[in-house]
Amino acid sequence: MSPRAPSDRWGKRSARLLGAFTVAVCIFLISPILVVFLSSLTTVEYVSFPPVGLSLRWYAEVLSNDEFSGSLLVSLRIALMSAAIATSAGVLAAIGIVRLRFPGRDALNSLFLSPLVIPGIVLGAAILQLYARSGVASSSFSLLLAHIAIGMPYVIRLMVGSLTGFDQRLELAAQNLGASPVTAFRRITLPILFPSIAGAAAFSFIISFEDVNLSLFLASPQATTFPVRIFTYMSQESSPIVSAAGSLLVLIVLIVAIVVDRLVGLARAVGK
Amino acid sequence: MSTVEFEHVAKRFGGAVAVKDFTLTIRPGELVTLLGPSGCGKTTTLNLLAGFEYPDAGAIRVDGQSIEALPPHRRDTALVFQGYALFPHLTVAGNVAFGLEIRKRPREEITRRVGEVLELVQLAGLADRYPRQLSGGQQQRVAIARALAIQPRVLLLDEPLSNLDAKLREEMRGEIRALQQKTGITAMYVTHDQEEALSISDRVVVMNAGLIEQVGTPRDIYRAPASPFVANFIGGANLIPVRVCGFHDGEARVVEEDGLEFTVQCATGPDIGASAYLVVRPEHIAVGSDGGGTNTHRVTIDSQVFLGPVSFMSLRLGRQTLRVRTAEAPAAGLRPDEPVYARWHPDQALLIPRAVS
Amino acid sequence: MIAATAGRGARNLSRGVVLLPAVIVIVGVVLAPLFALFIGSIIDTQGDQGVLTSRNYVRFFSDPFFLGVLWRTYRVAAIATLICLVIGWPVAYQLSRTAGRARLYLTLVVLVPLLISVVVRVFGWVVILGPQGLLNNTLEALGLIDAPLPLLFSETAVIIGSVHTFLPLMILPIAAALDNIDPSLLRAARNLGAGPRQVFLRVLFPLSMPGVVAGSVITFGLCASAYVIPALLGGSRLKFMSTLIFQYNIVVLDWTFGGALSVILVAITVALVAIYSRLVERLLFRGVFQR
Repeated sequence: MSPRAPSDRWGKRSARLLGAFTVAVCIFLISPILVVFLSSLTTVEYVSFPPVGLSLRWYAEVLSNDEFSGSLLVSLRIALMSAAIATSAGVLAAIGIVRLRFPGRDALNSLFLSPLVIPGIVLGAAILQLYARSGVASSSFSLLLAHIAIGMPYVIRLMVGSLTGFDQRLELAAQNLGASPVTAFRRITLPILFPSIAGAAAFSFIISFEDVNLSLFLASPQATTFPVRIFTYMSQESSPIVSAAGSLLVLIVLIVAIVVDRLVGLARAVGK
Repeated sequence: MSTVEFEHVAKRFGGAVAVKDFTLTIRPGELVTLLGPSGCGKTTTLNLLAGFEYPDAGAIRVDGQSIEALPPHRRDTALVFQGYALFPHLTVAGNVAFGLEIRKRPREEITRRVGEVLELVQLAGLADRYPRQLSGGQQQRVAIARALAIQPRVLLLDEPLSNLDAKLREEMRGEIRALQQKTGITAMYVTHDQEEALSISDRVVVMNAGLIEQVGTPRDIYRAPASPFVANFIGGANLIPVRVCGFHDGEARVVEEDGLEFTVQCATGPDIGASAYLVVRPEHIAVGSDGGGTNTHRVTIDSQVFLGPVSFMSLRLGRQTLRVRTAEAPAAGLRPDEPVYARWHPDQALLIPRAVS
Repeated sequence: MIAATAGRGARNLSRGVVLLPAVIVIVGVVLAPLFALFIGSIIDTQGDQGVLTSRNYVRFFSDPFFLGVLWRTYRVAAIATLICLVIGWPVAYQLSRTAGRARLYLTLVVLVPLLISVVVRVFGWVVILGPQGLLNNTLEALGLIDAPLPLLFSETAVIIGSVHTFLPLMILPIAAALDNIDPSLLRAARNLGAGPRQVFLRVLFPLSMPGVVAGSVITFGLCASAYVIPALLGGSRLKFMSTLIFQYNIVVLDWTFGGALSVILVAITVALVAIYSRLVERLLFRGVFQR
């Protein structure tokens, strides 16, 4: 810094103030999650922070508890299936949006993305009334359908972005060398886009796995997801088993999130 | 009408020196241009005056008052930015009024002043438009109007015409000069375009690698470059390394390393044996088949380029390469097997000192 | 000629089949149920006859209790959105001015909570705000209070939980808008005499408005329709539109009224958001949003 610069005391002080404020907000954002995690390590029977002693017993409790472990399996199963279907349908739809020209294309794109703006409870109530109650679909099936519906928009948004950025001349080069359009797509485009597709699949897995609003509405004894189970326990009792279950949920999501970030980049997946 | 003084101003960025020992006085009402290639320090000097950088050494004074420690918003040195930097969320009137509103002038005065200034730059009807609705030339004028509205002590212009096409550039530089003279405001202009610098400035400061190479009127700079850099940068020049071997009656005789002799006008007697550069401009060299006369030497034509109104030729004279600029294609008059000669008048060349290591 | 265009039409049609699965999902799982929900709220089935009725809506709007719930829902959403804006704007500014590793870490800290399920985040607040929770214990230990404060099961708790949940969604769009501001504009403002406060008020904040609007619309919309946060932090006595919707659909099993509640929530949220956007984009900050 040159010796002639005016004493920028005010500027420096306000910069430090802003930095401190930001740190405080970061602490605010992280602390509830940290609290949950740390309180899950307690040795005693009630939720305590700071934890009394450190042990993993509550994680063992979660996994040995039938209701929790059962709902964990339900969540995993539904998340995997809905991610698979949402990704397949979403990738195809993205291809259509990006490659085809037809009137109303933008409107259709908005329609595909509409579940993002519909409140979860409203969608849940709607699906409940139409499918689950009228007995047309068992609640596991309507739960699956609902998760596909909320995962697909993220897949489409991600894939439309990737496809738009994809240099189509590579496909044309393959065709020029003798490959049919479908073959060119299969052997050139898909492999190049694979990271995006995998990232989209992982992201829709996360969306499904941690969803609460929809799953709460469509829950039934056989179709209770892991977050919903945590919710019901939470509203009834305050036991560290809830902390442990919650931490487990965070752990699973974080692992998959890291995978998404490696493949696609987390910020891009969230749409910012 | 303010005076600006730079006194031994220096600025470095990390390890690199941007400006070395810059000393200059800008007189009231003068338009001084800093001219040089990119990286020569002209923009840094401008930023030092505007307050976006602070000098490591030296003083900067406006009307005798030191300003080098003042923050930018207290300097009263309005800047016309290279990309105009017009506020997109304000109308033309809003942009122009900005500085006046900051200074809390009364509403009627602001309205009046905005109208005046827009009239001055010939944008009177466009007060309610937004910058994005204007052409490049119009945006340029809004940027100037915005700077002039607050009647700053100094007007700064940072390559304001570089975003415009050639024709508009020519038009606008004349307008900028006219505006500056009409308002009588002291101005510092920065550009790398020598045509711009020569056509509008009262004085030109040629800069290279952080140093001032020469300060003078456009005519002086062109006619009497003080260094090889200035000679080459302005107008392009042929520089032939020579040694002085005689002087008589306002004319010096010099000899080039292969023995070729030239005569060149010289006001004061140079030292015999001194090293120098013989400087001759491309447009002063005549090419023809007539081998007689002083300062005439046989050359071979390396290349020719026809550009419409002008033609360039590259000639080989011994080990020297000469660049020639003519108004018509000279080779038309020459027969392929004939010898070619280049000549110039002794009064149209000059000598500048050459340092020999 | 005709055959060629017919061929292209047929080809486009067969290619359009890629859109089919997604369309089926959207129509079958989103559009049809929503439509049925709406229709269900305005039709009265008497025997085999369907009769158009506004019974459910009248019931809602004529009951001061329901109106109170409506008011509470949007009041809380507005307060939470405002707090998110006041807290989030400075953080977004800091984010846009940070570079390198620090920027990466800061972005992560803001981004990662979005992926954590809301039940976990809310449970954290239950632990912090509870009578034997972190906050009360700390305050008691410091001797500032004698008895635990009833922080939980209150509007305050819902607001805190909402702010925590939606803050990242306010920070990210504002940071993006700030990144887009041409730095020479700030220099120009300073050059024309604007001190730091003026630069903020006249240039920085107005030009960040697109991000502010995007962030506040998302936050307000999500907050008004959030369920878990008011259910767990508000307690069973504090009713919000979302808890009512749950109650009437799952507990009371009054489908038509439940449907009407959903329609009302969506319609009023959309209306409020539209009014807000109009106000900001056309009136207050016209220059920023001019296209």
